[in-house]
Amino acid sequence: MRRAGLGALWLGALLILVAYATAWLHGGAPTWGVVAMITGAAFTLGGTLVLGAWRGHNTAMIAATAIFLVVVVIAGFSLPLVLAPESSTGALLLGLPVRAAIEIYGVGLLPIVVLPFVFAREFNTADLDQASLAALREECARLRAE
Amino acid sequence: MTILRLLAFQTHALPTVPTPDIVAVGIVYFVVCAAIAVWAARRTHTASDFFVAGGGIGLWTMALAAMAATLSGFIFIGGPGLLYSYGIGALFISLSASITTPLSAWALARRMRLLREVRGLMTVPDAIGARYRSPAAQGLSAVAILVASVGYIAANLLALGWVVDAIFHTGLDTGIIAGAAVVIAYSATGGMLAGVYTDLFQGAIKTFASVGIFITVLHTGGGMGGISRAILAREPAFLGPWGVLPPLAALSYFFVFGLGTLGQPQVITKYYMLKDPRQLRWYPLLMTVVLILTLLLFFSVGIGVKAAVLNGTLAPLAASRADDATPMFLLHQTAPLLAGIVFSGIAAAIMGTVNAFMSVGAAAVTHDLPVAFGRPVPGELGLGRISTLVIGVLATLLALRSGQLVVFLGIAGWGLFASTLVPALAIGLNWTGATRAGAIASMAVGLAFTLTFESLSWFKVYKFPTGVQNAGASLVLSLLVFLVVSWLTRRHADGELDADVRLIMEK
Repeated sequence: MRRAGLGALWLGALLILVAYATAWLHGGAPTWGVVAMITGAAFTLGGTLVLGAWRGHNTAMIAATAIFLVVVVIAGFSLPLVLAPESSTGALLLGLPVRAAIEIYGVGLLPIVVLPFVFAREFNTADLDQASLAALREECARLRAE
Repeated sequence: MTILRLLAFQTHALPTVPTPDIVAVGIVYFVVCAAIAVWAARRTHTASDFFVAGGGIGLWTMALAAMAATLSGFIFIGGPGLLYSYGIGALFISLSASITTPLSAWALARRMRLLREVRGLMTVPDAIGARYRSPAAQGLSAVAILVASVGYIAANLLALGWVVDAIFHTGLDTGIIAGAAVVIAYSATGGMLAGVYTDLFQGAIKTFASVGIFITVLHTGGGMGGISRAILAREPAFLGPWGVLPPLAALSYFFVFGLGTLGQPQVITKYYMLKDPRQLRWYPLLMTVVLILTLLLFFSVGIGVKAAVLNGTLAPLAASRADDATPMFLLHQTAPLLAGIVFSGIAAAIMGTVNAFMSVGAAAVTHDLPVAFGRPVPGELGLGRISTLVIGVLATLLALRSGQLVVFLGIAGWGLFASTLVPALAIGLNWTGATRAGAIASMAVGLAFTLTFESLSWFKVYKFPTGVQNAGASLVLSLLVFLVVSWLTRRHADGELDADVRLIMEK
């Protein structure tokens, strides 16, 4: 799992580098360069999430959350690339044109109903009470002394 | 568009608004800040009190203080102006707001809090030094933080001067001096203890003001649908998926602010401060909700003023005066009391950020650099106060005397934090394969790249093509250098990681 997180980070960083490189092409970054940027940003965030959150016992939940994040970012920014521009009298989604709504409500707000709650669910408080912290301090002092 | 606008350092006068209501609210605000400072100064007895509020704050205080340190005057002035100018694309700066706090908490919160528990750490460079058992890494990160902090503080004091001038009609220099005097006074006497409790007060003001303005904008604009229809009828590109920015530029902001936020020392230092670490469980939810509520002003004023201008309700803003969007909206479309609260909120936002940077800058001088050179100093509390004073005075002089150079220093600061701290700290604390050489190389590249290309850009020698930001390029390059050098030197990884730090990294 950690290897997957690192792999996503590597891939994401390389994709962003490629995306930036396309800005030097004649006419600026082409659509595939933009897609590289979207995918790269999604993978760096997803990879960082996996590295930070996974601690051996929570594979399924963290994998699902990372996939959710990557899919939300990729879909939220890619759909506006393929959807047709809105007309001035076209339908609005919660008060916004559809493509902007997908970005703002999808990427901007949807993660708040998932990520903080997964964090709270996975956050182990059992080893953070005073007795556990005292035991940890002792254990670390012993390790440093060795 | 440069990152100057992105970070929204105020570089010209705001419309002056010295109405009695606004002046009265402003005076009350500064009096409350002074009272908190006096209260905190009496309770600051140790270096730990001064730099990390004694590690004794509650969850609400931590969340509001972190929000206050995260959002400078940007959300009130620069952000709405940016949105007014560039449309939805400008919103990409804050589009990662619901992602960054959980991500930061996962990557850093438990590890940093436990490192404080077992090693008594107080600063971000402390954590880097402990992770890599390296005074050099600690020193390098302290240098980056110090350089970035002074520039960032100076740029924010310049902005504060304009805000004080707008409220009290003092003139810029007097505004800078008066604003700086207040924030230096409470920072140097009460340190971070004063900082977090003024941030609690300031954060509450910011959130309240933002929600109030959001409701006002919806009311005056005929709801979100009415605002959108008004804009779509005359300038549909504004509400396109990238606004009037190239897609790569908008997405680059999302990346820079999404990942770069994990390296902002004024925010992540708060992880050391929570009294009961079990409360970290609900920190991401609380902080994210408060952050998004506060960002409502950025979104609503930017888009609401655009609609009002296109409708003919407000006069168009000159291209170079887009930052007047918020003051113009307050003066023409809100009640004076709410306008006063928002103007105080602007000052609050800037002062909260300045205080946080003074604290991390002073810690770099009095704690991190001496430790890095193997000469820790006794009496860190007294030296911390003196360092805060010196940094504050230096930054004030820069704000008063260096003209636009101060803005350049501020610009470089944000990029420096992101490129020097994200790989070494946020990734390094979660990957046992990271090495000392990787961390040092990454920080050195981040430092050199950011300063070089921000300088070339500032002096108009060379600019990256549209869509490539210095901060983004620097961040991705330092991340790749960190991964590559760590991989090349991987045989050293185990030997460079202390057993107690490894134990904490596995928790």
